[in-house]
Amino acid sequence: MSRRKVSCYNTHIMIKPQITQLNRYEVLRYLGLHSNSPVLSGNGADDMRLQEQIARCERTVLETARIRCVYQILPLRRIAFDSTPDTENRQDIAILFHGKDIARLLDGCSEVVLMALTLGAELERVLMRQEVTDMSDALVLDICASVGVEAAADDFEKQLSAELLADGKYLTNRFSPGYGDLPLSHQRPVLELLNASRAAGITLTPSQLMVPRKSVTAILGICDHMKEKTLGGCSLCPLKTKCSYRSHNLRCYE
Amino acid sequence: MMNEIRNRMIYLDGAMGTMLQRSGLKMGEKPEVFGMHHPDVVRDIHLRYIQAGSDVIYANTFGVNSHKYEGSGYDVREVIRANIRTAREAADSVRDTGRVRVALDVGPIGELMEPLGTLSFDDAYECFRQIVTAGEEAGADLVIFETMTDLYEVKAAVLAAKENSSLPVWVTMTFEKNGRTFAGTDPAAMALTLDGLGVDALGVNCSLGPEDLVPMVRSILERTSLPVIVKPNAGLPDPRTGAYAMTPEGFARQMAVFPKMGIHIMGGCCGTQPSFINALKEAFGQSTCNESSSACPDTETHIPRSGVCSAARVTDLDGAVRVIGERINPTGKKRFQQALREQDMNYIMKCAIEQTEAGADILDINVGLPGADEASLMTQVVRAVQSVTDLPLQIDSSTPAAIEAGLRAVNGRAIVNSVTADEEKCRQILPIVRKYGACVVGLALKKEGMPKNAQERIENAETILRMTDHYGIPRRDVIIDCLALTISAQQDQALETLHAVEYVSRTLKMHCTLGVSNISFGLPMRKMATVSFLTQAMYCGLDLPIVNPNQLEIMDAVASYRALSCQDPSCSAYIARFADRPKETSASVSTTAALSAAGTADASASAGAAGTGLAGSVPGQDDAPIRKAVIRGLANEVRELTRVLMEHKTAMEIIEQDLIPALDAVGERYEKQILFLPQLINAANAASAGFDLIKDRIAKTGGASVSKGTIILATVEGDIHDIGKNIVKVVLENYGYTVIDLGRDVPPARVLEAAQKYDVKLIGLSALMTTTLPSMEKTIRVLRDAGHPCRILVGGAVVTEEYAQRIGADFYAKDARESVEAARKVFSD
Repeated sequence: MSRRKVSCYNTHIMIKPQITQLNRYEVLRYLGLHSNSPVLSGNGADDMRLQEQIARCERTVLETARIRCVYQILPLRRIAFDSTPDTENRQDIAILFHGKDIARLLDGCSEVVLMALTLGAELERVLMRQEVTDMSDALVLDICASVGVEAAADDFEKQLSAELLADGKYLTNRFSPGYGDLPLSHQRPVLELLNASRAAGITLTPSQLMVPRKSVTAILGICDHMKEKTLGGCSLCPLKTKCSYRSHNLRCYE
Repeated sequence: MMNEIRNRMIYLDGAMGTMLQRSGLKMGEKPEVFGMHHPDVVRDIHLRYIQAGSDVIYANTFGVNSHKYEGSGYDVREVIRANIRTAREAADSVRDTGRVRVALDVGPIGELMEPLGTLSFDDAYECFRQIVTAGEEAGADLVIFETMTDLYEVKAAVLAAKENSSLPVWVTMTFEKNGRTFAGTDPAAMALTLDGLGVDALGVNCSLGPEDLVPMVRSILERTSLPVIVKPNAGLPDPRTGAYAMTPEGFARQMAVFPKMGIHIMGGCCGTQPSFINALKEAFGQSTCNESSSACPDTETHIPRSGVCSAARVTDLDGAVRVIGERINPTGKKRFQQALREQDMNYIMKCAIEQTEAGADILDINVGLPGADEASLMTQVVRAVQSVTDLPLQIDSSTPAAIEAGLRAVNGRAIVNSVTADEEKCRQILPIVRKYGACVVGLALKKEGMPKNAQERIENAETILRMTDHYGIPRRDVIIDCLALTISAQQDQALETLHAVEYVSRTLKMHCTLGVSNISFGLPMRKMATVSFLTQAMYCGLDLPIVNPNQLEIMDAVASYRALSCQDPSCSAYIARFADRPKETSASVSTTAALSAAGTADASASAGAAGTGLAGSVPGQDDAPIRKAVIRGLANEVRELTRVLMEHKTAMEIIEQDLIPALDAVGERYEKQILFLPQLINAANAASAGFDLIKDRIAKTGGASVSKGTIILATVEGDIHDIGKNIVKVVLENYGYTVIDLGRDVPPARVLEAAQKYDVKLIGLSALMTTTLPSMEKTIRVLRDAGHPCRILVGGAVVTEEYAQRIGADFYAKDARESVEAARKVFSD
């Protein structure tokens, strides 16, 4: 215990994110259900069939996903930003972040968590086969897998934040390359730093997309006080101009 | 050098990366570039390993490849040369010159290969070719491909090394605790494949500590008599600090199990240092297991278990019956021929999935079609099939070029079907079989003609055996086909075949295969004769029947035979197969069963309507049974109703009056958010059951195509998210359009090439990511610049109407529905 107090990145507790169920509402939301139409189509038999289809695909995701997760916790001084002087010559710098959003997220933090996780190539292969045999199942499965990978990241965050809370520390929002003004090209240094291809089987295509596709990277700050969750919302979202929620005066995160 | 390995312990080195970090390597800096600028630091690390007892040192070249170094400003060859030179200097500085060898160390390219990723086999090959030739020129003694996780990437690497250099080739792969690599490769499959490809040593490295690697090493030893390498980590790292806890002594203690298993080549991976190598050397000395212990296996006389495999699955060739699925074959199948001609891989992939689900153990691949380029089709079909099934494959061709193309494309170890008992054929084909380490089917036949009796078949088999011996193909990898001929023409031959099978399997002790279905050609109720012959042949020793696994009775016969011959312990597979069977009366009524199983009141109503010939629609009437069935997404019903309608309507009438209006009705409901996208697709699939029936009929009667026009679809270069494009494809196809699907990550030049080749009027482009939008724009520019008159439809999550206009697209579709509208506009003009 005393060791944990000194610095949390010396603990030997390994976080293994898990998913035991998927949020059905999230799945329906991806399928286009808005909160103003709570009962699907209203046709009992059709709804039942769709719900059964979703349940089947959820099961496939839970059974097939093999979550692999790698993370590192670094002191903030090892992170450089646009404003950091003389980054070229400082040997202790682990990664250089561009953009205002990430600097704002990590402002006032003592440490930074870098994380990458994937649901694995096994599920990817099932997704691919499903697209050949049944596109409708493939779509629902793809959505369930997207919900699954978010759920796994949420679980990581939950476990870590519980551990930190014992030390009186807090996590900031979760941020990823490609959000706001943090370029997608940051995927590579984050994954390389985490040795993610060797340790979790996560690779990048030349266009910076992760394979397996159902993977996430995340950056979180550790703070000794609860930080107001300033980031998030529509301003950072690339879909804001054509979002069907916004057109219904709704928000996807509410 | 390889002889030396057999006779004494060979110690490898330990980790390089962590040593470099301690010596000033900065985060993000490439270790090989660091090595080029600080040869003294790297040389010193090599020397410390040599002093500790390493016989082979891995040069600091693990991560150098043209993909990782693109845009780095460094030349791959130069970096390799510099680092090999450093290792060479260290190795040559020892007094006992020649004791220490320098390995060109090659890691994975770092991108996932197709189909999951975007790296092509040919690109990977080229990348490895460049590395290996540079390494050989620079003076490496051998090449080691290590930390590999994808067997297909390894295959590209091994072929590149063997075809472009004379260096000995070693391979180690990295397994997770569940006994597989991240890409799903199984250690037994790795050993079978690499032993076949002729590597010089193989084994495991990284990921786990010594103890945890024992099961994988055991599995490899079972499948090969080549030297096996073990290079584990110093246990597991602390997830947060990356530090390894194991001591050199603890490491050596855990390693002690390996020499007893016959392992001669050992070293350390992540977390190990010179002290670890020293500890190994002190613990095990120079002598190999064979001298020091009587309990260890004799590797010289050890006969590995034979089998064929994909990367993820091994099918043993141990005499037990394994079913080879025959359905991927165009002979006598119009629909399959059409799929090959149109390169409709989806159809072929479905054939593969169907046979896999029916319980086949191996899939035969035949793409022989008059006038087609068999070799290039073979490559394409093998890759498509292995993207959806993990069954091992059998390359079925008599053309050497097609056989080689197939064996090159296979991920795993395949069977070649076939050679005949003619010297000429054997001379052409057996060297290819040997090069890729495949198994081979020998057809007990000579060019002079069909064998007349069992004796001639046996003589031909013996001729083939002499040939395969001559080319160094072990007998356990040779399979004899004693030829099943139809009893409707040559009735007396069936028994001759059985006699020959019996002799070949019992006396020559070789595997037997037969194209079983031939036996009943031209007879009524073929299944009866086929199943009966199959059972008799299995009793005589047929272990690799080529059959149609989709026929229930055939697979039932195999299941019964396996139970009766003790190949199915405790009859458990038999029981699992048949436990629920009595509930279904018989297979022939399954369509009616499926109809009633659909269970809704509508289903029985429409089935009734179908019976009275009222299944179709009066234009404008939404409650016609077939429309209802489409809207509900009930494929079986739509198929049955279409069958009924075809008796009194033309194909075009059914499409125009029934199927399309039904799809329109679904589209409207989707628009109004009464239905959701999966339901829209279900409806499209249901309609497709009707379309397929109509297409089959047209293919059989040779009538005019019902296609409303051809459309090319592609997900643009750089983007790998193609589910949206695939949904559009399903919907367009079910509106009667022919879709040429170029797949994902498609370069602009390929879109243009296809546009010119198929002379299409409409091209649909999809992109999901903001970062890949520029390549959508580029594709349009390439098409326009070439002056192609096609119209262009764009869509995808981040595409907007505005953006579509700006980049010069003709149409923007926000969903699959709208893409149909665009197609209608284009093709009604």
